[in-house]
Amino acid sequence: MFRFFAIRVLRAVLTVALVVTFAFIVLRLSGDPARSIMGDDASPEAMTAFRREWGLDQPLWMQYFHYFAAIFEGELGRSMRGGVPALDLVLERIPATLMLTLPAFLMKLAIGIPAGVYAALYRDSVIDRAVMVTAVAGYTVPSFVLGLVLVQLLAIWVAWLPTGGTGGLQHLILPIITLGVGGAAVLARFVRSAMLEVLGQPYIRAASAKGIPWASVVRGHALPNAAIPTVTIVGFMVGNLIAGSVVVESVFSWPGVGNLLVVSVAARDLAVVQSILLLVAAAMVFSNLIVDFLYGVLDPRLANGNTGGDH
Amino acid sequence: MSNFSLTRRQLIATGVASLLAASGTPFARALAAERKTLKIGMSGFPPAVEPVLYAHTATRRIAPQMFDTLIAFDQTPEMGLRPGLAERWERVDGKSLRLLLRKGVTFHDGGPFTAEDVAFSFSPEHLLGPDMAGKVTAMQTMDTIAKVVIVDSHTVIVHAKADDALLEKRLASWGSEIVSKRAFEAAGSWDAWTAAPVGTGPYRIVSQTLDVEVKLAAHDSYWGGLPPFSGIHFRVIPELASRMNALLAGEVDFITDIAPDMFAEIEKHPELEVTGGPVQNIRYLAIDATGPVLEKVGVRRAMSLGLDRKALVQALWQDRLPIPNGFQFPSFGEAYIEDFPALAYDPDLARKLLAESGYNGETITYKLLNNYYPAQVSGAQIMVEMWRAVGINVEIQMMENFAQIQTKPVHAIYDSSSTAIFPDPLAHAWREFGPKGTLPKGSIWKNEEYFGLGEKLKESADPQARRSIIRRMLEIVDRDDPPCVILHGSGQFYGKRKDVAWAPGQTLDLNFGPFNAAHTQN
Repeated sequence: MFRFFAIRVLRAVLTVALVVTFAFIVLRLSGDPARSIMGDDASPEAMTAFRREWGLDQPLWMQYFHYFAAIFEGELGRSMRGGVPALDLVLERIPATLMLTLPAFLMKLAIGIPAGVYAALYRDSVIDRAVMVTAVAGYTVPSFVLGLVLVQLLAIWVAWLPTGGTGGLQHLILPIITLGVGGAAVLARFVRSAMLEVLGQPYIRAASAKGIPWASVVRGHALPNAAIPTVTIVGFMVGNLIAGSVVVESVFSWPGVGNLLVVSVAARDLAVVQSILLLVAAAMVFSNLIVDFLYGVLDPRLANGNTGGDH
Repeated sequence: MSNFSLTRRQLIATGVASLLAASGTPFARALAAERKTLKIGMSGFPPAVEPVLYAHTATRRIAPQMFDTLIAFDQTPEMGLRPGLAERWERVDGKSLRLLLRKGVTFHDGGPFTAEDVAFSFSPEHLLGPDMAGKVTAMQTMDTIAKVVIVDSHTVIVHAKADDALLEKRLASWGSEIVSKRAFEAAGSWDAWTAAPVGTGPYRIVSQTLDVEVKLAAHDSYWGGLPPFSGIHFRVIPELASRMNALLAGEVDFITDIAPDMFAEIEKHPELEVTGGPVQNIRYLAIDATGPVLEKVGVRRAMSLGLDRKALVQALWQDRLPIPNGFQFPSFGEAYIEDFPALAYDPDLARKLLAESGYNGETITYKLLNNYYPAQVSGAQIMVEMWRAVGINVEIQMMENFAQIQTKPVHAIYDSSSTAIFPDPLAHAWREFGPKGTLPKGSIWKNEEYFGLGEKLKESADPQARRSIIRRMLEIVDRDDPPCVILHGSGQFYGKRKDVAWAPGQTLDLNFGPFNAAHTQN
């Protein structure tokens, strides 16, 4: 068991280091923060002073070394735009993002799981087809299109809700719906597929043949076994809570981490982008660790390194 | 030599409004109470609202509400000068200007405006920015200022380092805004100062939230009269479609940076209108003249002659943008060469020049950003077809940002634009093509004759001598050794509610104060 988790923790640390290194190289090679932040009309002297101030005039390897050395001291650098510590800037935005992503996450679970289970239990029925058509539509329509359509309908035509920005609970409704619909559709499809696979297993037929009521078979045998693939996708959604709303935050001008990421990438505000990526990678890795742990709980054979396949 | 341009009507209106505002009479209070907060959806957040630090578009949209200059541009197409914080001014000699400052002006914090504030605003401590490191945009216009001598509490003499025919214009341009010395010192640091800088402008800062909003409130004791709005709420809405939606839903009164394909949609709504127009900026294609094909002058000229700019502007901008005659604007006044030939569309001459240059259809790369400038990609596609028609083979290569485009060797053409920071070639073409300009600094073009002429121009105060220098410089850029292909003038277009009284100016600056033409002309 210890080895199981030790390997995963080591793998997680390596993943975060790779993500940060990749982001460092790509961002530094693909854009010039001085031009992005100082603007088109800045003089070459001002640009030079900017690069000197932020150490951008040093060789790439030296910048990389300083960056990593600072990380080990718990220092993620300062925003070139605001001058404030990058991590503070990112942490300030997390509550705003969670105000969207947490309710949207609950919405995904509340709609996606029952819809998927129901569709699987009534396979090929009208309900199944209706759920799947809706799920495919929800899955394939890009969130920015759905967001703009909702704004057109509910904010401009009937003027019930604001088009974006912050201010009150009413500002949350459209972004949450936009985020939740796509995720619920994905989850419904996964759950249906997992349930169908489980429902076709011999042990389900055996339990049913023993005369156990169908509802108990579903609750006691089908749902727990279908939970493993479902936990995987739910874990991914948890990992996405911090930065999974980039597009929706842009469409609704919501001041969260996603919006900060877009603006910071455009401005090549390197410390901020790297802080966000570090947090996102850490969140994703942490949620994967939890998922791995849950695998072990849901199916102890996995934790023991024994899938039972050869028996 | 003094210079005034306030009309009598403006002067009376300004005086009456100032008196009313200052008097606190019931009428003035009623007038103030009737005003509404103006809500603006704009595309980006300013890196700072301190104008010496940045000339960023977002900064220039907010700074004019908060700060005044000693002399101001009247924002008519002629870009004439009008009194600002200086009531009048006169030349002492070729490099010195005496300015008589307006009395009774107060800063946002209630402190009085005096000569001390002028001296501080133009001092290295302020103009060179944090730690006096020079990480500022102000020095591109203010670097010729040597010192400010305080004559008395409301008289100063500004000395340039050498004879400077453009000193008055510099004192009206970006980076010359006056700040409160007392408030700056009280702030204690640049960080604290830029969080809430203090000027004399018609609006004072209330709050700013990074990437979200900037809120201003009316400075009711403004010397120029009662500000037309009780406050201004700049909301950052980066997505164009979202800005449009906010305008259509009535959540904002005014939006910036609208694309031409949205004009019709806005004008469908009777309560909305499209406003704005040309600004003092030229859109051009920079050329790497050191590349294997583009080093030939004939090829560069052919690229210009092969473009039907009239059709381009008609198709993309509904004919709302001008096509300049050379790299200049009529607002340059005596420095404008009005008889300089218009940019020609001559496919036959283009083909002839290509043949003479030995051009055999080699690929010319066009490094293109994805609509960094409005309608940029569709414009590029149209131009590629126009060039194809005269036999030039141009291939588009998409790029993400300017750093990628300017990675050496460039060996390509790419889009750029140039703002006239004040109306003169030295604040425009020279900033692009002079030895410290964008193109020579990028090592993609140089011309020693051009550089020499520019140095002469800087030293010359005689209008006729300047004109002959400028004419030759225009010829080099247009014909003899083109560093670029001039496309057209740039525009700034806005969507707004018709009941918001506001008129556009000639620059990127927005002015919502009492000196906006919509108020001074009524």
